[in-house]
Formats: sequence, structure tokens, C-alpha cells
Amino acid sequence: MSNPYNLFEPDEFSYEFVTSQEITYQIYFLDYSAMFADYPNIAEFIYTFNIDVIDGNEKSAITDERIGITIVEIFKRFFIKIENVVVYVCDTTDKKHYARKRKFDTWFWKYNDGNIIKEDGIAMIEGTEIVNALLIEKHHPKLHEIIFAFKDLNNKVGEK
Amino acid sequence: MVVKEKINKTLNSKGAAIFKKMLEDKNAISKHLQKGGKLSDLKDKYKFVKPI
Repeated sequence: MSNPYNLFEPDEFSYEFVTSQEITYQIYFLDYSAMFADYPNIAEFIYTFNIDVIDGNEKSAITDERIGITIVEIFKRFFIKIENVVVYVCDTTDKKHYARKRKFDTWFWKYNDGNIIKEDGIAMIEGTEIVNALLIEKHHPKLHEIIFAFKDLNNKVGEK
Repeated sequence: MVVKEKINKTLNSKGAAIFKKMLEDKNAISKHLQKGGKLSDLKDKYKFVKPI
């Protein structure tokens, strides 16, 4: 298997790597614990993350498996602290959220060593589907409660 | 069944506000970066962390 790209820390907020096709990716995490205050089972150590291309043309690039390997490597480091939990959403603005989900899913299933569990969700917001997912270490002490709470977040209010 | 599906489309998920905020934050930060901005410019608005 190929190696991950070298990770740089350009500032105190993010990670970056540059691919062989000279595309620069920036990855950062946001603390969302406060937003989950109504869900005490999942409120602690809850983060979201984003991946942005900040330089280069991703659209003209050929498939590069090292990108997925590098992203998963970041998550392996992140989940060294097993209490950490990630909830993320796929951007819907250009209607390509399912394509993004497929790309991330491919990376995840291909390079995850089995220690990270992924739970998919689709939230309905004013008639629009928001594709989202939970990532959690399989040894997390509140694994089942957190997955249950995550599923509850995606349920529709009033649905029987 | 059809009626129930139509009703459900008008219902929000319980976590709608959270997911909506996540999406709005994600898009706002992404736009800022695409314009050449730095995350440090937004450090007072968002809670960036390095949990690793």
C-alpha cells in the first residue's frame, strides 16, 4: 500500500498536505461540544472536520489513492484518544453531496483498519436532505449510547 | 403510505439546527479559504481545535 503524504501544520488550527499533482489540501477540526448540550451522551469531545482544496485544480487531477490514505491517517491519530467523536456533513450547495459521500466512504472502507466505526445519517431540514455521518472508535466507552443519540438526531420530529 | 411520506418531507430532523449550523459554518469557512483567507482570521468566530 502507498504511503500517506507528509502532513504539515501551517498554523495552530489545521493540517495540510500537498499531493504529487501539486494540489494542497487543508484539514481542520471544529469543537462542536457546546452545540450538543441537549444530548449529554454525545456532548463530550465531539468535533466536526472539513477538507478544503486551497491550491491546485482538483477537478483535472487523476485518481490519487494517497489522498484517502492520508485522510484516514489523520483519523487514526485523532482516534488515539478514544473518547473523540466526529460528526460531519457533506456540502449540499452544488448538489454533489452524494458524490462526496461516496468518495469518503471509499476511502474509509478501503483504508480503515477496523478500529473506526462509521454510522451514516440523513437529516431532513426544511425539505432538504443533509447527508451526515458519525465516526467513533470501536472501544469508546459510550459507543452504543452515542450511536443511539446520533440516530435520534437524524429522526424526524413527530415521526412514528 | 404516500400521505405519510409527504408529511415526513415537511418534518425536520431532531438535530436539524445542529446539522444546518454545521453546513453553514463549513460553507462560510470554505468560501473564506477559497478567497485566500486564513483560518486564523476566523479564530474568534469558530472554535478551531487540534484534537490530535
